[in-house]
Amino acid sequence: MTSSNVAVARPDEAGPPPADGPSGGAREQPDGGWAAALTRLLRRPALGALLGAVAVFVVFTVTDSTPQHLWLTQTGFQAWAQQAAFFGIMSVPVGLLMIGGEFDLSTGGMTGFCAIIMALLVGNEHWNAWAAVGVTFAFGALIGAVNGIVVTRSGLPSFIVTLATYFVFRGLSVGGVLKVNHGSTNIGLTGTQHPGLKSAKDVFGGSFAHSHGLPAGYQTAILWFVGVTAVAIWLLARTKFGNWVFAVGGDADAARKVGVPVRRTKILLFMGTSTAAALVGVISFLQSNTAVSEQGVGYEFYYIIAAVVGGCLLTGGHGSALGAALGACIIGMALQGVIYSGWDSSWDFTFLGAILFLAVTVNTLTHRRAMRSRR
Amino acid sequence: MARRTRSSIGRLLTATLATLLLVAGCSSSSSASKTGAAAGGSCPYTFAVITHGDNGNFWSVVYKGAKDAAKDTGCKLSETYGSQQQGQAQPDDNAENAQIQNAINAKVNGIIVSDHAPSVMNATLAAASDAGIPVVLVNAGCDDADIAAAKAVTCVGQPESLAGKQAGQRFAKENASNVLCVIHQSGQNLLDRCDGIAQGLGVGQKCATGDAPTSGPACTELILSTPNAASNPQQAVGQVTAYLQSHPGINAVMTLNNAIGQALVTAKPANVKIATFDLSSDVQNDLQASPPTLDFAVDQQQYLQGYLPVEFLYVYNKHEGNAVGGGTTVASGPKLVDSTNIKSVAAAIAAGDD
Repeated sequence: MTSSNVAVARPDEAGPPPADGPSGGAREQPDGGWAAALTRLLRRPALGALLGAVAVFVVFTVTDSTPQHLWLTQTGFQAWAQQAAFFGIMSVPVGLLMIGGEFDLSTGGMTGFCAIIMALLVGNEHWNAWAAVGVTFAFGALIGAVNGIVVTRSGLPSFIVTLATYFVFRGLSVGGVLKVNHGSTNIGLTGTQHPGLKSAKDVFGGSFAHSHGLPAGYQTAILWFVGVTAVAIWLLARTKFGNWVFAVGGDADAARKVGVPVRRTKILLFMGTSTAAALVGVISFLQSNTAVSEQGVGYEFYYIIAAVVGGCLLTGGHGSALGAALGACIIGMALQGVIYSGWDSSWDFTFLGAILFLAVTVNTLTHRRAMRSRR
Repeated sequence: MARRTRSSIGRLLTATLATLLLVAGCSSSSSASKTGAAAGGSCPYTFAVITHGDNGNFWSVVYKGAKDAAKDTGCKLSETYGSQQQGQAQPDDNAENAQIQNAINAKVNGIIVSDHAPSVMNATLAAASDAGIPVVLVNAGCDDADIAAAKAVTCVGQPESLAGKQAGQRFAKENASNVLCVIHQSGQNLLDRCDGIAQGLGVGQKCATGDAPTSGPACTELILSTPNAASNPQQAVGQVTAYLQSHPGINAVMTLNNAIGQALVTAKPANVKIATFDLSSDVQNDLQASPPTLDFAVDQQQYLQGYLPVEFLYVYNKHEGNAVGGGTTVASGPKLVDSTNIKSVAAAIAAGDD
């Protein structure tokens, strides 16, 4: 019981203290001195991720060995922001789900499966692209609902339930695709008439802010990443639902007793991760016009890494959406930074592992200390 | 305890599989007899197909080749698909080795196997030959030492350094000789391809690592670290693009995976010729575009890696040990495909045969 003390958020701290965003803390009354201010700062779960992101950025600024010092240009920013977007659109809802005390291991496979659905509907069946987008999102939400309902009704660990979902979809996206796609697992665009494809591409798979310094522009995926993060921060900090999330992750029984709809909250969180997976699938198909069955495999752990680096505790009840987004930025910077630095990129994995361990250690220690010093 | 549960699950799976195969076998033999058995009579032999592959783009064509050959000859396949189950990043060599042992125990009439880990599998394969089961290696293990150690009839595959060499020679001819070789996962065969490019360019035996020089001829390896790079081409291409931006002297890129090659074409990097290993419908479109967006593709014609071994084993069984290959590799490729000869290949791709 004592060991879980760290994880359990008492209902009274579920709201304002872990709040995200620059305005979140402004409402707090200054209750005296540097120590208190520091404690308040340390209690923010996103702090570790922010410091980490700044540190990684500075390191790559120094080690950048490209002739034109690309790291500090728009090109460099675009490069890692684009990588970060693919991780971040997922890591933020995965972080929310972890705060709510559950895991979703089906996320990586779902992104690939949703890209496959898009490719089948648009590429093979020649649907209107917008209708296909609608169906893909609906499918994503449905799978999340199924995951959530199974987890909350059966009481089985979400780790296992979503692992099962994951394998089901791996099989479907290979076996099913082989069946309907003439023995190939790579689906591209066929034919010439694709109603709605251009406008859908502009929204999901296009680019913006073309300039002389960056002719290709930024990808709209980056905007989606920012949007998802902003919505999640707002949800956690400003809405009743946000309080419920902290409550069900901290202590589901206590939450239930004070009238929090535990099941509904968790189901909605699962729907959040799977709908985000649909978004990634839609974006990835509309960027490249193709989908591969193996897409997204293994990514679920990167999403969890990003969320954990961002201060989400594995035990639930504590964490931050902004932190999870920053965690995704760290991964994105790591992937591009080593290339600009001319390092052997095989060391990326070691780098990410070290960052993960460091972040968890720092988060746990500061969290424990800050909670203790509240008394 | 755990082991016992596992093996009983395994037994259940095997039984289920066997039932399925029996059903599949019955239906395929009946359809074969209906089509009038081009091979002139039914084939009483059963061959096992064991690989380190997955069910993806590449391997599905190999399996199709094997199935088509089985249909043409009337032979049966006890299909054991690859050891790289979907969702696994790397093949499972111990699992593959166990599958070889299973095939020996099942007394099949021949084993078609990718010798992915010679140190693990050669002894088992030699035991198969000793038990009177002929072995044909495919795709991996195609050098004379491994063929001898595995006591195999032959190996059907693409000698990787030969393929790289031809690609390198072509780059040199096109004055695109500062080549970046993009490695998407670990594997000796991929390194051999890059080294072959260096040989074809005439810049030594090995493709260099680290920073590329400002002008060629040179071969430089880039090892991608995006998670599961082969399955997330757009993201992998982010790293390739970053490398090209920081090394503007490079004027040719060779990708060892066709999905990554296609994604790189979509990213439209300036002033580089792009070539890739292996074909797909996307690669075909890129080659057929005007002007072609892809310079050329190295086709290892993996359909043959499925088709030929079945024929070889059929002949071996039926005609008193007539062995193809003379102890060396039967090359299924390389065949360089570009805008001039893509038309003839396109029909094969459409039929799922390439």
